Amino acid sequence: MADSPAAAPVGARPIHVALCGNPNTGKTTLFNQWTGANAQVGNYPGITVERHSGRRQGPSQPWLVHDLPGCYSLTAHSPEEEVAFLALRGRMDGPPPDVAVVVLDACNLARNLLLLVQVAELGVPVVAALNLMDAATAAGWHIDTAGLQAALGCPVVPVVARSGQGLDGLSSAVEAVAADPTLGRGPLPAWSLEVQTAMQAARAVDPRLAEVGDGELAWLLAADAALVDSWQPGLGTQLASAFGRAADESADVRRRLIHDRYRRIDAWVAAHTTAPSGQTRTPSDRVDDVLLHPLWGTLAFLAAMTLLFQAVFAWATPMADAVSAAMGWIADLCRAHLPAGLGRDVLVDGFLAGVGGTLVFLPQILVLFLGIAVLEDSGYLSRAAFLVDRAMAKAGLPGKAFVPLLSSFACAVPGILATRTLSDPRDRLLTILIAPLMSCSARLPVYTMVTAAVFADVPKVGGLLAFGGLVVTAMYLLGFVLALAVGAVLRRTLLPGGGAPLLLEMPPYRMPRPGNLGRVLWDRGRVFVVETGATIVALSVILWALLTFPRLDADTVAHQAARGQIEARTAAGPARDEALAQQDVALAQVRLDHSIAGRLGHALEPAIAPLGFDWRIGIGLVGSLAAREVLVPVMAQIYGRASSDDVDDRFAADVGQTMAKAGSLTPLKGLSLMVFFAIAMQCLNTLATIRRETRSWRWPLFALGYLNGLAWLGSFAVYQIGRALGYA
Amino acid sequence: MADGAQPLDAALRPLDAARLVQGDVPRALVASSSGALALTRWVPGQHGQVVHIDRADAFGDRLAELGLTPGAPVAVLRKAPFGGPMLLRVRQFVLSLRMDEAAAVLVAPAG
Repeated sequence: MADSPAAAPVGARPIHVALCGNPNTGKTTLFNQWTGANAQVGNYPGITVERHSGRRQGPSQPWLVHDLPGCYSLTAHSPEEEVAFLALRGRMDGPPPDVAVVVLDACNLARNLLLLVQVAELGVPVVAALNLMDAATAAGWHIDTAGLQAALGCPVVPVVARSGQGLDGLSSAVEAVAADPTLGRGPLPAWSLEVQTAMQAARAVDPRLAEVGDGELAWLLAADAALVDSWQPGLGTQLASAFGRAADESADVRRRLIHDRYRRIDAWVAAHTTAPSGQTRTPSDRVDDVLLHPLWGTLAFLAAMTLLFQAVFAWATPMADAVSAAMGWIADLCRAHLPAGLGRDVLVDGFLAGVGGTLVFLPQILVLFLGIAVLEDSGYLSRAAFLVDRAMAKAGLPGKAFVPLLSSFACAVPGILATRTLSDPRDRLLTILIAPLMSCSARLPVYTMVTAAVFADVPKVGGLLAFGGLVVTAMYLLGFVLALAVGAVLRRTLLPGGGAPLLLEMPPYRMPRPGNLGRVLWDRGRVFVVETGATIVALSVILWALLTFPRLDADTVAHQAARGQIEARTAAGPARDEALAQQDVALAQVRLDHSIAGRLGHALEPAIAPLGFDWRIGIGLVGSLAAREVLVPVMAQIYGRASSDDVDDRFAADVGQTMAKAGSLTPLKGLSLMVFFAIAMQCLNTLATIRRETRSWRWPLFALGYLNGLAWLGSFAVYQIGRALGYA
Repeated sequence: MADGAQPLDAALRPLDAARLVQGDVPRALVASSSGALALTRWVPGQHGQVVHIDRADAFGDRLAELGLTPGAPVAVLRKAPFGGPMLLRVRQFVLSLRMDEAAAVLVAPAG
């Protein structure tokens, strides 16, 4: 082979290898085996389908491997299919692949072969990787690889991607096909008479189709008209009107194409495989007897979700605290060693605050994604979706939306990232838009501040339950119920579709692989820090500027004078230090009042007065745009109290009591404030994440508008009804 | 067609027959069991072959692509409580369908 001229490298260019396959076939495992640490994750331009590619050194030449999205077909009914199709045609962001490796699940050959047939129809040279051979053998399948290879007209290589078994043979087959594409031509087309007649008619419909091959024509006949139009103007519409849908499947050309393919596939499977004899209940079926049982299954589901929620909510907190502490230490270091001034302030309070604000989410995100990856890899996520589908469908949501929404109770940022498990873009968008309504952990300091200030003295309900605790519970419920209601409304208005069809595949239960898990965590973590983090840092600097400028000289002059007086009047010692510190706090108070944010707070007063909020809370609302819990230190600053980076419960309660004494908070105003915070979108990180995930500013701005509008209405209703009932 | 070679829940076959005979299955189901019935009217344990997908749209195409083509073996594995989705074995894999989606799949009982 080495001295054969055909084996010479195809120039200096690496061979382009596309990996395709159904979901759950181990395609990603194979990709990881091949590319290892050289893989790159990105997004295809304009859509949220992730793009994975990587280089590797093959047996005799370099490869560029593209991992196409997992899909069942190439008809392009979903973004994944469209990406896979366009990539195979070289219309995505590179040339067509030299070889397509179609990963087949050996336990589920028929459905997997449909994709292989479609890839071959497009004229892409194929190699079949018969994966999960170990599982198939264990289940009692016998597959005649040589016979299958002859029938399919392409190399068929049995592999076990997890262990790496058979991968050398696969690599050689890929390079052989790259050198001689005829080796991977795939099954020759064999269409029924009805399809052949339809193809003839189609070629008469439009001269552009005269030269098109049967395989591509088959794709054009079945594809979405709009997609074909975007490519060949008018062609899709023309074909759609020439070949209308027929209620009788045998008269419908789109259905006939699929039936024709399956007829051949069934024949190959019957001829070259032997099904397990005897019992047909798989081990997965037996596990399902418990995990999908109406009672035990529900209990197991509740236990799994409780565990996941606990992990995100409680176990990630120590790590997040450590990140906060480390960032605080770095900030202190900068304050201590850099000359005072605006440069230091923007670095510490703008830039570092943004970096810290990004990194502090990382533990939660990693813990959540570890949990989701385990659920997904093991095959349980589909079962959980099956169990809750009915309840979620009532809100117009798919069953899988459960995990993102649950995670959002800890934090909407990982929750929104978790919507990636939803395949339908509209389902995903809907879930993203309602996720911020789940009461996240950042709302707790605000709830604590208010309840400690105004509900602490209310007698316990029934002598048992603290009233404040009940109010907080009510806030959690409020967010959840509103989320379902908003979901139902959006489904009927902006995002119609009646909930995507369920159509869930229940993959067999499998052991999650540490390598895969580590990879998911690395990808998610890196994308979040690099891409979302950039937006968070930018917004954080802007907010810092709002809270800082304009900086009036008069304030500084007065401050210097006051300090001078203190120094002149008081002898050096603790008393003087305290007086100076108080003067510094007073300066911060005046500066905040004069800043753009302060002026905005004053300007907001007419708009928020009907909610029972004064201008001080107005400034707090502007400040808490960065993150809700920032309300507490900002209020502290407004009321001239020393601020603290550490927002703990006691500090929050303290600030609340100060506000209550000043008359800013009463039980009714407090309730109104809590309702506002329960609903409003006040989180730059969430906005940045929505932008990153939807690839536009339209949806974060929509969420900002509708959530804050709802929050205003909710607070307005609470305050005005309360006043009408005689509360203050 | 080599559909007979597909692995169906052989153990369940006699059970189905028994249930049909004993009236364990609603009468309406027995009465029309000679012809095709929408999957929604099937009970767990029953199996048969796809006759027709009664939806001339992209969703029907998707069902066909997943292997629900005329003659393909289907078995109902279980139904989620409260009218939730149903679990099917189609060829060699397990698929869940909502009830309104399953209504489009017409299946003829085996045997």
